[in-house]
Amino acid sequence: MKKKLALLIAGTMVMSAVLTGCGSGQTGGAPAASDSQEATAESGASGEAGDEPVETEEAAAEESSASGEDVSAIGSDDPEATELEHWTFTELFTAFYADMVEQWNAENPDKPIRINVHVLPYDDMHNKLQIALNSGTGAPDTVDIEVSRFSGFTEGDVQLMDMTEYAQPYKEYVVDSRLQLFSRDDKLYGCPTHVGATVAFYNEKLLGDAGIDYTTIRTWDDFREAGSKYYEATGKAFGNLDTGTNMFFNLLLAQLGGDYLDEAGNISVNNEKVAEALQIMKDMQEANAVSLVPGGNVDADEGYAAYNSGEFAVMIMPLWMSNRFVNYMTDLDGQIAVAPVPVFDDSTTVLSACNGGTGTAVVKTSEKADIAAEFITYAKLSEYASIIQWDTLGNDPCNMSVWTDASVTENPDNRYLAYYTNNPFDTLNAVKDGIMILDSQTTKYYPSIGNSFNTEVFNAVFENGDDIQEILDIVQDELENEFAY
Amino acid sequence: MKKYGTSLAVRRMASWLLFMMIALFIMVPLYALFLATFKDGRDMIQYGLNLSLEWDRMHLKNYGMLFSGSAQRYWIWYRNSMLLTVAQVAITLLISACVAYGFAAYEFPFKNLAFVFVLIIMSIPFEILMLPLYQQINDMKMSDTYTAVLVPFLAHASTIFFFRQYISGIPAQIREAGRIDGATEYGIFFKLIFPIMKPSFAAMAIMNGMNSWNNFLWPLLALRSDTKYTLPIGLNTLITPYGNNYDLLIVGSFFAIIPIVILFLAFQKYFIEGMTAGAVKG
Amino acid sequence: MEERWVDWKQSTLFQNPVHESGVECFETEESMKKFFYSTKAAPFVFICPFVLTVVVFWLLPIGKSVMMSFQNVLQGQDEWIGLRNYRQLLNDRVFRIAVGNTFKFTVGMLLLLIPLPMVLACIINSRILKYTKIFKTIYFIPALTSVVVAGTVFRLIFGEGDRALMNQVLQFFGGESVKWLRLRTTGYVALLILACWRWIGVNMMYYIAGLQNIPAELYESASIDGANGFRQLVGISIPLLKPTTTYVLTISINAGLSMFIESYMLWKGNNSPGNTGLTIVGYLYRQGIEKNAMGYASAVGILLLLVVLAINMTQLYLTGFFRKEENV
Repeated sequence: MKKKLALLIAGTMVMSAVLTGCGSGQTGGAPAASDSQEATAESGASGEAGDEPVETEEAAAEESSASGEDVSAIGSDDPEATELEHWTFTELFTAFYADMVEQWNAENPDKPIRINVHVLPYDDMHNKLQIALNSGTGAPDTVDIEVSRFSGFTEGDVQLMDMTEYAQPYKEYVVDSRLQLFSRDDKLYGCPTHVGATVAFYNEKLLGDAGIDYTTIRTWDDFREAGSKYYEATGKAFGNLDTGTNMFFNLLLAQLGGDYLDEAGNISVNNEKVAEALQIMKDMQEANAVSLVPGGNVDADEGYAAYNSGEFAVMIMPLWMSNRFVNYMTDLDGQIAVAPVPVFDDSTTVLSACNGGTGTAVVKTSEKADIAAEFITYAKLSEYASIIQWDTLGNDPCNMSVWTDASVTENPDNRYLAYYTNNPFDTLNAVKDGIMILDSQTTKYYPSIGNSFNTEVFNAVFENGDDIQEILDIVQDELENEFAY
Repeated sequence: MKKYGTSLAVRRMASWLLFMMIALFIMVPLYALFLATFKDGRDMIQYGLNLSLEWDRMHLKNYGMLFSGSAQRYWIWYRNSMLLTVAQVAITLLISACVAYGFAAYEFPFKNLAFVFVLIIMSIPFEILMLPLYQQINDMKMSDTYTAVLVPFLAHASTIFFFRQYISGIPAQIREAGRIDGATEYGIFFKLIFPIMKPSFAAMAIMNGMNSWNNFLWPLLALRSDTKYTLPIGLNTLITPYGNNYDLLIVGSFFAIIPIVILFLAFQKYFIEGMTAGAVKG
Repeated sequence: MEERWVDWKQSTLFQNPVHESGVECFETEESMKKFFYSTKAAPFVFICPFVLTVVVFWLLPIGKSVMMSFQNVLQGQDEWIGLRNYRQLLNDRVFRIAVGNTFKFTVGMLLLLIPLPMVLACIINSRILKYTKIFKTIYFIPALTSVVVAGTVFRLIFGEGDRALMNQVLQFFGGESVKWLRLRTTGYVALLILACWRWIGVNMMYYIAGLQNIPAELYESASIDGANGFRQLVGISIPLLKPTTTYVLTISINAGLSMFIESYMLWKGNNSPGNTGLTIVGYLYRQGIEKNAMGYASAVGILLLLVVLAINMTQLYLTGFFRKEENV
């Protein structure tokens, strides 16, 4: 027994020492004093295992605390440089900030910056941020906040910095709806990553095989007819119907001139416009113009898989799907065309809706808030930022000056341009003045409304075939109870 | 006698069948995971997890990635998990043994009340106090340290309960003899009782090691730097709404099971022995 | 080696001034030392670390939680609102769904995870099978697997596509693919299967341990009297395993009531379609973390706490624990 225990502990420790070796130079975040304390306690408890492994263990702990630098520190080596702690929830953004910091330091040699990017799990990052802001300790300097969680941070005594002034130089070039999405009472609390303009992605090849010309689809009636025709010809689904996201639905609701609120700004999810939009989707489902997407969301593994294998021909989603297309739907390379979404009739003024996205915010109480705000507005709103967003991540850039810059829109090295059969910037320019959001999206009600629709309403209506008004009334009661006070 | 024999054969067959079926139920997901380590992450996205062997689509790339250095962060998480597990098990066993000994070997006022208190603590779901506890850790400037991860579980109520049962079975004469020999109260515990308790340590080492190795919610809250993450949290960062890294997730998940299984295999005998000795007697 | 224990204990665990400050205040130290080593002080020294952690890291946060459940917690502006959170909770339909799911799940778990492991343990104990050691090992492996891993594996197995494992199984038996995780019943089944997979081995171990305390002679004499396996199970095993069953029952109820991560991993988040997989703790998480309503979430937590305490106290009372302790 004793032998085995000793052997095991020794083994574990040798292994951890080896692993430390693997990670040396990369380990960091210098395990604090507490660690050595633990190591001591531990060596005591495992004393019977003999001296050697214990020392190995302590050596391991020392090595890791000695090996210094954080993996994700990016930017100037200047000891005087401002060091920003940044939280994000997607690793993709690390490389983006690396690019932006480099460019910033080149343009502003007098204000060098270094940024430590911490990648945290999605839910967890927002939640830690919330608690850190509430308690006033432990918050980063800057942070990427997902749009559906943004309203949670603009309630009460707002702890995010008003960046309106800093955004001034860029404001006239940036899509206004996108800025509105992160503004409260005309104060800009977050800088957008992209426009997230909702467009239609048509699989030109599949549609062509079925004898459908997507350019003739102008209205939702055309869309429905084309969908039915396609379904009859192929037996396959045409457009996407999601139960886990309200992006498509928000677009329809905006085009109908409706919202989740009444005119006084109170919750009214059971109003007739909402019911009408649901009914329109339901009709399209019954006509087989849209079908439920596997997994309930186009923007998830099973959704990508379904599209990639040709089970669907059309997708109504924001343009940031570009990087999902290029990375996960590789079989469709050279088949997808981007077009404006259909409208109800010529009087429809909403040509697209902003959906999804991330707002980068500065924490008000940070000592470096000023320079942080200067950097963040630059890193998210400038022309250069927009070019990087598009070239590396395939996000539709929110600075509109690049939409007409041929070096960007005709860039032969851009993988996203190469993927599509037509130029997505033509679509962006065509809908430029009609990109809207719902008023409710900037209210404190929105996270709860979105949650109720994505978990309950769509599922009840499209999956279970429940009565539309009935479920809307239930959800209205539910939300009223939540915000009753 | 003859009749008894045939029915035994039938019973044996039926038992075999039952055990094999359950073993199959348990092994199939693990086998699917194992197969998936040879497949593309993209396949996982497209087809889900299954048992099909498609030799032309299977390869060792994931293993190559795992062991070539491009998965360095994975090994950092691995190392962190190991350090934390070893530390947690050592500290928890030591402190829990002390507390159990305090309850089992001495008489003091309100002892029974205090013990009921232990049992009640045992029943509180940690999730309830998780949020305020995180605020508190934050206020104490302890967030993002391993101390914060370890400290709420320094003493583990069911481990204490278990040890107390075990120590109750150790004859009091041993303690008396120790006192006569002039040992201090602590000397008696560490020199005389501790060695006798060893079999029960094995059982509790596995139980606590298992909990610590797989602990998810609390380390997720308490830690912030990706270089300090443990395996479960690290693996969870690979599942994001912004694209999943199934290549590393699958092969990484598979290797996350291995050390704890080895620990179990090494101690299995003592585990059952220890569980029996400390088994609940009502 | 034995010496090391004492050494270490004095130098690191009990860092009282005795060993560090030396001669200056010799007399008081001497008496302190004496007290420290007395049989009166010893139990408290042993229990002290536990009591400290419990008070600081369990009771304080629980106290805070109780307090917050009567507050509206906003950034920097907490206000006392009396019983409002609780009143709101009683009218909350989603909370009722969460409670319903949790109880349904707990009951399902009890129905499967108590009888089955008991029977398995009895078969192993009766020694009619050889090579049981390998079964014990196999059955225990899932418990060693992180929920993150297990949940992910099961999510992919229960995928909607025709090529996901469970659907392949259905097709093999002539059925059609099912959207496992998106329908109420099948979602519940998937969650239950995940729970069974993880816990069957652990509960079996408890029963094996419990059975080893039953004298083998009882079975022998029963066999001689002609009692078959089933009669032995009903006549001997089940009644004598009562303490084990009570224990397993308690931990299973506790595990069922505080279930969350299984559902969280299986649905890749807390928002399952139609809230099929939403549990009480999941709702606490949604309110407290996703919606930043800490006060409201605290009320959910306190209600759960009361339920858990009530169940456990009843259980302790029924097993005669209080009576026994009084007599000690």
